[in-house]
Amino acid sequence: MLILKRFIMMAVTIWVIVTVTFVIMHVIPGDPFASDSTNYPPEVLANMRSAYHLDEPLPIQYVDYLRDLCTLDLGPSIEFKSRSVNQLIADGFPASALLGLQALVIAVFFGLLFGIVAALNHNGIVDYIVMGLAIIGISVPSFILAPLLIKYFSVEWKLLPVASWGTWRHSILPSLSLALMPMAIIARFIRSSMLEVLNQNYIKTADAKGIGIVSIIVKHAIRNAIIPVISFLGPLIAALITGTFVVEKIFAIPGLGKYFVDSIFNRDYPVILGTTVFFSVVLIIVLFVADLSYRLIDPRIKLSSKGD
Amino acid sequence: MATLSEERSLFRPVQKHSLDNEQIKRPLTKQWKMTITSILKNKLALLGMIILFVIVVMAIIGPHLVPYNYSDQSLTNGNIAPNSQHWFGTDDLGRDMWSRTWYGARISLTIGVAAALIDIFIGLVVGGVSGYMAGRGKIGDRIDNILMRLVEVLYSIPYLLVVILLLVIMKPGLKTIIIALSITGWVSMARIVRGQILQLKEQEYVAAAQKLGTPHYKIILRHLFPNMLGIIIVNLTFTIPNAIFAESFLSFIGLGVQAPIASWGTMCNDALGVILSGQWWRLFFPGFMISLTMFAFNVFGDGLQDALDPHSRD
Amino acid sequence: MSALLEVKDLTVSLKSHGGEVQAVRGVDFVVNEGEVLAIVGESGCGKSVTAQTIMGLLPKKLIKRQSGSIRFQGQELMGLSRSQLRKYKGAQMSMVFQDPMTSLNPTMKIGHQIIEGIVKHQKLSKKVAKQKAIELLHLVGIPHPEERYRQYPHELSGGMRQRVLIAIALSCHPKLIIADEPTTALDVTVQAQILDILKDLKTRLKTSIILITHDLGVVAEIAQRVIVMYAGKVVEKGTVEDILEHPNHPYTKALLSSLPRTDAKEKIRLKPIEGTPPDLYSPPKGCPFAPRCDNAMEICLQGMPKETRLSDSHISHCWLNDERCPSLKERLMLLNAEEGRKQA
Repeated sequence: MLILKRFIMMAVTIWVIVTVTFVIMHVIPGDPFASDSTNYPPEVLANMRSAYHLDEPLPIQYVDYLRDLCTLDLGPSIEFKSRSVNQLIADGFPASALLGLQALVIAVFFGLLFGIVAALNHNGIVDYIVMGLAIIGISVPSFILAPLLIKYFSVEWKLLPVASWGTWRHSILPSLSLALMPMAIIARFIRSSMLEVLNQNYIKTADAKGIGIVSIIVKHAIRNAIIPVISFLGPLIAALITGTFVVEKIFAIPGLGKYFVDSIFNRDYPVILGTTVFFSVVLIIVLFVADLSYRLIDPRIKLSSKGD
Repeated sequence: MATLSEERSLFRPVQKHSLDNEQIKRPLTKQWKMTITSILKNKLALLGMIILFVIVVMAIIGPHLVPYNYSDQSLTNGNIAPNSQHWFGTDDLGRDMWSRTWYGARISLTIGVAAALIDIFIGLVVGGVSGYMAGRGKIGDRIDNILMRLVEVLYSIPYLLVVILLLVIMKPGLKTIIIALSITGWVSMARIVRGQILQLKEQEYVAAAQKLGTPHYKIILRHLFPNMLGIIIVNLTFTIPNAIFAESFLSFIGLGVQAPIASWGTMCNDALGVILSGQWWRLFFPGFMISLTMFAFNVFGDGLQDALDPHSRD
Repeated sequence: MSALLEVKDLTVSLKSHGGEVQAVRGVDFVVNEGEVLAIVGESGCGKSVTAQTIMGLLPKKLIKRQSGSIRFQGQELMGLSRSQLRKYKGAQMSMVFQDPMTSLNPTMKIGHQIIEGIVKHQKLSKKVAKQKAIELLHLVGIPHPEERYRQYPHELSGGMRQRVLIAIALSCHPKLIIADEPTTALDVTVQAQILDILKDLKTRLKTSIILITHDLGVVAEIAQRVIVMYAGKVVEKGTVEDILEHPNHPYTKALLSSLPRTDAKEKIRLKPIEGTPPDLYSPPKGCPFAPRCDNAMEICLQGMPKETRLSDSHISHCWLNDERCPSLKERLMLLNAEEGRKQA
């Protein structure tokens, strides 16, 4: 079965990431505890090293690492001595997930809407305006848009809070900053997909039935145009996830992205690596699910391995 | 009323070969000419091209137009708004923003173009070999399969995360960023190249050349390559802005080039703290430049794609 | 028999990248109830545009100019709005398109595509419509219609898809079906089956059919009357006997002689027509076929030939029919004289 094949692929990819991460962790020159060596007596340091498994030979560390991963134990954080990486993830993930989901909904809904409207108005004023905005949307990165939005909406016009998290108001600007580029990409994509579909013969057949333009557009055009866009959802979500790093930093949102960026700054390696593994796994699963739904929605694609 | 002789002349037979029986009123044009004229007619694409040209020129001569160096500090002159002496203002260490912006252009553009070119090169080689080897016996198919599996696995690895990891362990700097960016970016190019070659291989002139015993490298050079040039160039116009974007993104997280070398991304990062205190020029100039460059590449790339794509013909 | 469809002086020009294309230039014809009218001509002669104009399927943005009259059962269709035309489209008149492989929505089940029109025009419930659809599938000769009802287009062969398209066209019992090259994309055995279905429709259901084709064999098989189009104009029209047995226009004759014939007593050389049709960006002011015509005369380049009524049913547009035109013998003599003068 094809699904099995894909699933195995996914497992292999995760394994690759995990191993690469492990290798990287041990290529790091220097002792992660170097900065603490003045604070603690050697025995304590030795204890900490063994707590992090750092005194055992490499292959054993690798097996330990894999075992820990399978039990979803990502190890303790070095910077935040009292919390484990797992706890950090558990703390930060909800905020990031909320932000990401909101941005996703905005990007998909408005992206599809604008793109379809533009396609139906091909070469008209609306088309030019939408496409003009879309080009700007794909050119302005979120970390440039965000400060702009803050400056006007929060500082000058005092409509929305400047930063941090809490009420739904706090989530508007961050979600918008995050959503704009994906929205523009989706709009352009569905527009060209619609234009291609509208040229197809089956649209003429539908028109000849006299069923009315709304039916033609919705049941025949959009239905077919949206399929390639779905195949695009996976990478889009990946972009959204990485986008949260920057947006959370700017808006000081206590999400996983911000912890990740902070850990990079602090060189807190267990957190960096643990979060990377976490993000990667999430992403790979998302890609897998997106790929699956694409295959399920398009009736022309067979799910069995015949002629894959 | 026509006279008899006039009538007779009206009904006189006409020699067929004196007639133009294959009149085609629309002149045929050569493919490249068509591409270039199409781009030139596309005002937006033209604008993009001009913008890029101006940016490159300014990157080269910009810093020389003012007496300040990008790294000269002057703590007493910190945070001055744009005026006649410092056209783009100064940053908190008193460094001239005009100079830094154009110097940053050099850095960002270099990183973007270098990473994109390396990606395209690797992609060409891998995709090319894979595509060419496919169908050439068991060994060929095996090579193709292995390479494609590799590509598939790499494709699903989140590219930016790997880059981040690499940058975390390597010493941040110009070279490391370029290497880190190139390492996973070639994958999509490889797929495209392979697809193109598989398609072109079906063409008859390739089969003819092979039958005539033309050596492999000649086939690749003379037949396959020129037809892929279009796709490669279009891909370049989208890979470069992606690389520039990635670099500024990474700089923003703190993984970019180290001070005093500045890229647009690091300048944006530095500017973040002072946004709310009204020093707009700190973020505006590098931010605007990033956006403008990406806009220009996107618009030019779009125009190029439209010009090369037969679908745009009626 | 009364005229079901009357087309008078239909002129359509379209916008394109290269400029204005005068696709249809003053076309007249009539379709009677219960008859099959064939429109014959090469690619680009305007037959498809004519059909799509009748059905109101041309996108407004594409049309530069449109004039003339299209009367369906006495009702003028030219100038009606989209929503007004909708009453006719799919219900009173329907169309079957050329390429069955791309004319069906790939993501919608066959059955659903058939009942769409039924539900819209006849306001029936889905359940009742489904019954009708299955009957229709049976009518067009598709085995196991209940199964096929739930399938997607890619699960059917080309011939079957074309039958489905015919079923869709039939779904609301139209008085007129326009079939645009319904057999061109199919192989010969399937062609015969499709033609049988169409013939059956005519006799059993008394549906009128406009059959667009470039294949005179198909015309012989199924049509009663024929119009021959060239470069946007009608050059000859008449009954099937008129056209096939007594062709008048040089183009019609050329078409016939480029066909292989199984009844030939000795080997005849197939004669393809040299040259290509004129570009319709700036059509010539004379007879459009003149450049390729063996019998072209000076006057043929000067202006369009008038209509010559050869019989009650048979009309042709050719200068050779003009009473002032010299006989063949005289013309040959004139031609030789020209040649002689040139050599001297």
